Amino acid sequence: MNNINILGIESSCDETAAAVIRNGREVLSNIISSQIAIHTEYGGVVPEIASRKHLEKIDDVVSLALKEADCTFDDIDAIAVTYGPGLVGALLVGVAEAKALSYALNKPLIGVHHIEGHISANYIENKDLEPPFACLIVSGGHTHLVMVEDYGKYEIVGRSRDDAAGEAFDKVARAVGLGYPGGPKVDNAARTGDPHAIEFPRGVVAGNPYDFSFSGIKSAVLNHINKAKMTGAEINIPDLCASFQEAVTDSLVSRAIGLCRERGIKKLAIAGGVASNSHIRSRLESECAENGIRFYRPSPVLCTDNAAMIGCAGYYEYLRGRRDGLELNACPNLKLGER
Amino acid sequence: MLILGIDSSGHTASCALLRDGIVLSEYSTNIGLTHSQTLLPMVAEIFSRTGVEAKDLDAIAVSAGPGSFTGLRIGASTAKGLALGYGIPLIEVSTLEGLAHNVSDLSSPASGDNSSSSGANVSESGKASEHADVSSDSLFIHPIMDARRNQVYTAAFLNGKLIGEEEAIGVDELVEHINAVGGRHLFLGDAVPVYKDFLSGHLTVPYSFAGPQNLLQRASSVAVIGAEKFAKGETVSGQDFRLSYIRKPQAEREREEAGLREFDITHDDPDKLKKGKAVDVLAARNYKIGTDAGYEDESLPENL
Repeated sequence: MNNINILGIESSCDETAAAVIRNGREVLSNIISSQIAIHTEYGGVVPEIASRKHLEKIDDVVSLALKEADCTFDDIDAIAVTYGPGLVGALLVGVAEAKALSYALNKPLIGVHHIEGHISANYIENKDLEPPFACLIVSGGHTHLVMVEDYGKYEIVGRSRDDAAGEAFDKVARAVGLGYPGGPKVDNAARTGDPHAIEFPRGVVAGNPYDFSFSGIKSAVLNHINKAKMTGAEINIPDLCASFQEAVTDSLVSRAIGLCRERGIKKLAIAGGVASNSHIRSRLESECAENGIRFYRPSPVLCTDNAAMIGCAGYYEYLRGRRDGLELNACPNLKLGER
Repeated sequence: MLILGIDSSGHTASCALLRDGIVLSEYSTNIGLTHSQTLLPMVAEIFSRTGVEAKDLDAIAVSAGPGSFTGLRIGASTAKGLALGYGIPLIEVSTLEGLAHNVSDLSSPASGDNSSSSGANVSESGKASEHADVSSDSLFIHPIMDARRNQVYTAAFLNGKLIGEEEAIGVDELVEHINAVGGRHLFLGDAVPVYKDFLSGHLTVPYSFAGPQNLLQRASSVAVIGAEKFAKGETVSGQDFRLSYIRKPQAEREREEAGLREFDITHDDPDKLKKGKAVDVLAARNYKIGTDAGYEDESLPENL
């Protein structure tokens, strides 16, 4: 069988990325230009700045992806690009570049759902992982619990009713002055803290037992801080971070493990930027072990936004026959499983 | 010489193919901001209709600002993708210069009557010039693009040459400048419908507005300027291509106005973030992934 090389392109938020993926799971190159140092100065991602930087860097990352993979365009079989969800101005840069390349090189174009990319990141380091499996997706913009029934086929079992888990991390980090990005900062601060120092609510929602809510946890943390400020009590940041993280982790882990137990699923994966949180990883790992579930998680560098995962997801869409045309548009609110 | 011109800096999406000084084909649509869906299919259509091979292109001339930030980026990233795919350079063309070129043949100095040739609706009024080095015959061309907040992106062109610089200024300020300069003045661009009444009411020098056929961005003008620049070797690689937005992002302006530069909220390592240093904070890197499922590296690389 001939090798199939996919050029993946990703620009949905604040990383400009390109990668060459062979046969879906072999990463020949994984190039990222991260804008984090720039957005850190603003305490969060500034969409207009992100879009400008994507445009400046997109050619660099694509050229470097080919070079590091020891490829030319002739070796590429198809171009996969994130077309949503994400920041519309940011997505448009990658989509327009990918479409123009697809036209100029006469190569098939494949639009990829960003979250499908995150899920697919698990395939890269786990050559034996095949659907069906359960996947918990936690990032700055998304919190989903899904059943991956087949490649490209998903059942969304639960989702956040309000904030994404990552948003709650960012807001708590900002409130205690840890800055942006909140995930790694809270994770670090929590290492020396007591996770049971403060009891925060676990965000139960009526209706669907697998849906999440993080705004309640976030508000409880902010109330705690305000109360301490008013009474002049000192805030123990490690304790606060550890307790907040514990509340979020409980809420994530209980649903993910609950789904696996209820449906007798023996494989659970995590995905998304927050999936690199060390506490969430170790809690899921130990609870999976207790319940006889095999736990899959991408390396942290594959949890962050990258194009290797887009190339991987694009490969399976390529096999399924998906082809997009030159009118492909950026879809900032694209739903999982939607075309 | 085969040049593709692209302009999607405003409501119009336009592309044109110029071969050896002849406009082979030009497509323009002015149906709202859906350039992401219209521009590249139009480019594809131009090649299939003309039968010209896209791989014979020498360069792509693209409108490089000012204009709608998103519109400019769709044009630029489309042009960059094409240029990277074909291995050809880009040519940066000012949107304002491109617009001015729609009517540039009107602006020749004092060489007879040329008042109604390019579709300009001349409606002269006001006084003669009081400005010493400008004759009452001098025709200034003013592309004006709506920049919101009562401002326009504009520049003045005389005899096909840029006078002064491209800027975003208030319409009242623009009128003041023009009244002081004297000469005759022709306006075009998408801000004409917005400010036509204001300009008519406040200009004291002879003026006119371009007709609808010349009013908006046209890729043929961009391609013609592109061909001139190409002949002079003024091309750039896709990697070096830059848009000139004129305006900074709102967050950046607000931050500068608030003097937040000194108020260091979040820096881990301010030295690393300082502007103007040789360190490219955006430097693209290859983050290698192991071939085995071994989670040796449980930490996120520092700059991600």
